[in-house]
Amino acid sequence: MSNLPNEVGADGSTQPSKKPMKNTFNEQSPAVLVESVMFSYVSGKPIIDIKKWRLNKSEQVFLYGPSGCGKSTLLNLLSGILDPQQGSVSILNTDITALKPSKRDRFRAQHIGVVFQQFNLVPYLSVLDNIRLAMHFANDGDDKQSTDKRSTDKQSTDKKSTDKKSTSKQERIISMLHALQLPTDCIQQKASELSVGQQQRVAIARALINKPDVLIVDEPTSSLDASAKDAFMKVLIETATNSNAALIFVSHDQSLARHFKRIEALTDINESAALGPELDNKV
Amino acid sequence: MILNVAKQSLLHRKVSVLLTFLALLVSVSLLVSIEHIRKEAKNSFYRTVSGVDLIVGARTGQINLLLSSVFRVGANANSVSWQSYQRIISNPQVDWAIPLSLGDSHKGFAVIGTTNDYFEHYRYGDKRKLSFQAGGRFTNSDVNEHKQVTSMNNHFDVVLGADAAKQLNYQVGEQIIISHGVGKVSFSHHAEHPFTVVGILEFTGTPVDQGVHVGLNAIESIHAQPKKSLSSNNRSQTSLRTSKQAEDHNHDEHDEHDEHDEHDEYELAQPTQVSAFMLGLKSRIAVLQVQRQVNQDKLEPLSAIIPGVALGELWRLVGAVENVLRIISAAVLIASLLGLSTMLLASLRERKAEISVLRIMGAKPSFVFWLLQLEALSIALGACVLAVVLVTGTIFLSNDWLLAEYGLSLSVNILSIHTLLVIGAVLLATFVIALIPSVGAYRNARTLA
Repeated sequence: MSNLPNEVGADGSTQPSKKPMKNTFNEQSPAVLVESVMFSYVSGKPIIDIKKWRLNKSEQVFLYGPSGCGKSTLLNLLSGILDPQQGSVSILNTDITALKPSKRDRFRAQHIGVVFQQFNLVPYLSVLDNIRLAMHFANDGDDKQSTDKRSTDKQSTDKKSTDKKSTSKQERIISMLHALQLPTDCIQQKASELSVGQQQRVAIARALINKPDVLIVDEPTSSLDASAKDAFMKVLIETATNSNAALIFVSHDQSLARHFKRIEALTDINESAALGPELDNKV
Repeated sequence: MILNVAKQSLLHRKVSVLLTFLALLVSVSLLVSIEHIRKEAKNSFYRTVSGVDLIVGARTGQINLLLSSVFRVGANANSVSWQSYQRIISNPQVDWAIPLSLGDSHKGFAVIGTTNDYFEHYRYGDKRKLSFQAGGRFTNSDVNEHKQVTSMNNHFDVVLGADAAKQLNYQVGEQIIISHGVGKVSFSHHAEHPFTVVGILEFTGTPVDQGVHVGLNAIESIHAQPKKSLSSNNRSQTSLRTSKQAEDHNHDEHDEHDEHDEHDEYELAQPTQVSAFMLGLKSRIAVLQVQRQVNQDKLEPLSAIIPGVALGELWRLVGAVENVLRIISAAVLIASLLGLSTMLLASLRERKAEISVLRIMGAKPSFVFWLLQLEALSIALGACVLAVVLVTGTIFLSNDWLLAEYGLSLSVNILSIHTLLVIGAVLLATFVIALIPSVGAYRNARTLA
């Protein structure tokens, strides 16, 4: 634990340091490690109490969670939106609970992709802008650092390189959308104009565009019909596998479990899940 | 990036944004135009007279004297005797003097009896001299040459201010009749004394534009005339006292100087009094000294005022109204800014999901804060820019009308440092009031997911 802050600095600030970590691929080094995490909205009534839970790199897990078992709270803890009162959540050996809030926000942008049940996109932005925005948050700090170092006479050449960058970015976005079987012309459409199924696929694109190490997906199919559900699951598993991201898939729909090798019940992991549904309403 | 997000977000809520924008546009336009008119009014107010060191009249308050002598508003019931006038201007410190005889009118325009010194020494604005757009000065009415009878055909000369000439539609060479008293409708016409327009002044943006200037002795002649044809009860009440005095002085003068030689009907009378006079001194240092001497004059109760000081005091009176206008427009602005804030606050509920999406993408809470601030500020900035354009356009289009109707000349260039300060204040107020929704959004962003 003591060497973690150094890890954070290397991990949180620059993109290249991410690559070597991926290359030193190792089944034993976990993508997610949750240790003795306690969280409660009301003190004395913990809604999450997890002793230990780990997920290896590129591993895909189906977490079965009926409503009221602290499912959304757990996902918010994993993505660093919520801070546990006790314990640590480590993503790629980085204890995100020890990060400063602003660093945690960037770490989330770079390393964690999240897809919610619904409302995954900024409704008034185009598909392209939604994905670009996600890229922007991941690269935010890098841009700032590099512009600080830049001298004025270099700026014209830099502009050219950023132009190149943006075209390659766009290519990346288009190929990503293609992989998700979305039509290319939807790129300029507003997110709110797409069908729910399309929105959820764009959400995956948005979540995966920064090549995250962990992809957290929360009931993404609940508003889809059966055929769309299957198509969505197929595309999701495929793209997640291709991008080497560890996948945490949470759902109360056990029929989806057949897409996964590792299947766990959230009630088994979370020892305070017996608290009842009324607390989950808060989430 | 944040700019693009803010832009798209505003476009997404077109109707409420547009309404808020219009409310803000109206209030900023109000504020900008009030500030502009206030500044212009103050400018033109202080521009009315310059280069005059002292104004002397019969004992009265300084505002009274200023109003009657410079603005031709109201009349000082008392006059300064010709002897006192002569005594004061013989002071070695005095460089020049402009005598003013006030109280008559011509079709609602004030008639000013004076001398050619008026056109020589009167200054307005940045010490600008009066100039003529047509004709020239009096040809025959210099007080010092009062023995020269009027022109051959018994005419007096008149020089018109720009507005007076324009509204009365008089040309140089035209003959007019000057009536008695200050009212627009006058019951006693001095039909016996036709005047000839000899000159029309350039526009100055001061009360000079509304003036009808005649020779000092011309006025005296009118007022001395009743000896022959009119009895004093034919005169309007307001000038009764003055004319009585005039008669008294006439007797004095006639005794002293024995100038009874010309008893022609159109004789040019010796001036016996002036309503007030303006003094230019050889050195500005002497102003206070001469002022004290005049105020302490033993022979006649007189007042001497320094125009700048009196203008300042008068403006403070007028300024109260100006402050009321300012307060009203500031209140309107705050009301519309609160409307802006309410609009953003109301949208927060529907934007909860959006904020959590932004957060999950990795946006810092400060991004959400600045997103809302940026939306508020860009609405306000847009309103400011359009308000400036709108006010400029309105002034540009209505300038001729304002000038003709109110004699108000507004500069079209409203982009002064002052206006920029007003806009800065509007943006600052926007920021402060938009803190309500943006801090709310910031808090949401920190805790909500």
